[in-house]
Amino acid sequence: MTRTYRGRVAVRDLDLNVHAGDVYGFLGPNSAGKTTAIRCMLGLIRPDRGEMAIFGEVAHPARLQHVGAMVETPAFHVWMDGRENLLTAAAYASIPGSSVKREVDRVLDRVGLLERSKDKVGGYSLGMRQRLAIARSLLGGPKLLILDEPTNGLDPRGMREVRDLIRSLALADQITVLISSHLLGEVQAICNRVGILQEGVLKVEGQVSELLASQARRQTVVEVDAEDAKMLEAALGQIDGARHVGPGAKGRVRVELTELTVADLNRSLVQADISVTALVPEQGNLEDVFLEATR
Amino acid sequence: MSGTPWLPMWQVEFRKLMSRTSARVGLVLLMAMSMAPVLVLYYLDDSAAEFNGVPMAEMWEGSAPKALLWTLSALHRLGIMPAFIALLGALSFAGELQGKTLREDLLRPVSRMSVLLTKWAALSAYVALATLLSWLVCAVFGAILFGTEGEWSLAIQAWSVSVLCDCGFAALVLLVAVLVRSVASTIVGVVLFVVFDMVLGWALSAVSMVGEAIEAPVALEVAIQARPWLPSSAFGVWSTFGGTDPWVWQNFAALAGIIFGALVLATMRFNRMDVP
Repeated sequence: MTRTYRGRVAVRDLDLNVHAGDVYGFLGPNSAGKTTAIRCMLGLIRPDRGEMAIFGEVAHPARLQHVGAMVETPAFHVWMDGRENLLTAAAYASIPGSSVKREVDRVLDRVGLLERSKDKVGGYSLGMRQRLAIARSLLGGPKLLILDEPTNGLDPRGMREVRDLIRSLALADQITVLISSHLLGEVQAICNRVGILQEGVLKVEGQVSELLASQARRQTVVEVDAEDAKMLEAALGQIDGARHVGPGAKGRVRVELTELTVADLNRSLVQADISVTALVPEQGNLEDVFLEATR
Repeated sequence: MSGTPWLPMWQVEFRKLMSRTSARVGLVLLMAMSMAPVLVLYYLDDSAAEFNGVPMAEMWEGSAPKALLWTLSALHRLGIMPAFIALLGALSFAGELQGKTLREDLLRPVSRMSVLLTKWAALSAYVALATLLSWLVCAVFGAILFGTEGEWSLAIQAWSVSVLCDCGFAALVLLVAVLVRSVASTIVGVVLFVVFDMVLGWALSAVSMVGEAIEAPVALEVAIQARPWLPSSAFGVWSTFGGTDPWVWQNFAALAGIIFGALVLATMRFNRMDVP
């Protein structure tokens, strides 16, 4: 799929593969084309070239049959209450009239807004609006949820609530989730697969665990602690293939290993008469993968 | 597309429309305004005032059906009904596009055509409701003041046809809203269209007068033939019921053409539109 805006390519030959059961993190710096790609998927804008299939269905709007979505800042009829907004949305979701109220109650309960459903949306906090938007996207029991920046503008508590909700939807409700975000820690915490987009081109796609492992193989960093920190730092200066790269967590020292293994480092430190009390290999993180992909 | 939930969509669109303060104010204002021409007619009917030496009481026959025709004329010629249709039409499409609530509806498996048509149907239902309530208020008030005598069938026909005319006007408003995509621009666009249409009408009148004066039958014939096809003639066909000139089939053909053409053009444009 390709889409241009006034001659500038926003998305170029994008081919995303989201498998059933995935919580897929769609990453990219600002203006990378994430929102354009999502809008194309949802039929809000038309690609210049190419097509996309969701559950094998190419035609729009039929391909949205099993999709729930939230694009950027969700919009509501603010003079209506939360329930009325969902009842309005339910009409468009082809939910049979006899079960509309039950379905609306179900999704309100799922996001923890049942108690506040009679309040005007104009009085909702940003976090409540995000949760109401997720409730709206859950109407009709979608198999795929597409969430564009769902934690945008939320405070830490709101972010955690939304993150926990998404995790629970994937695990408990077995919904495939595609989540677009630039909050890498958040994505690493909840996604099992990621795709990284830059300047409209998909640079990296794969399992989070594999990408992290691959990153860790290329660069090993360990955090070291010893009874005498000064002696430790002095000893590190004498060991070839280990480089002191700054402070780590809990007063430890971060050491990058270029030619040594962790066992080699331990042996060298013991030979230098250092009493090592901790030697913790750092896990790779998505930030490094992201920075490398978008370098 | 098959499986489109037309009825629920229309119901929520109508509910949404009715939940707007402007829609409720419109209903109340239209009902209140429906009483004013009745009072004026009642005053004139009983008045000793003269106009050009003729007692005004002799110029108009005071009856409930006459009051109904006066009221219909006042609601449309003073632009009250068209103003509310333009405002609500602009809000229901351009307002929702600007407020991004239209985007939320389009995230569902429904075609853009169905979204647009249900908005038009909801606006038409509002027009029908407003017309019915105004008619009831005016008829009851008129019957109290003048009794129930008079040509009721003509008044009923005129009011019924006015619903059709207003539905046509609603389709035009939606087309303008789709083209310009903002509430303010829609209202300005509709006003400009009405002014342009009016100027066109005057131009045709001028052509027919000049044609008559210089004895140019072709110009006269063109002006006479074109006049009933103008949108203003189509939207004002209700005025021929009880008026001096009878309606002609071209008025209704033009009205049908405007409704169909406006909805088809609006759908085509909407289908190609990027939704923010």
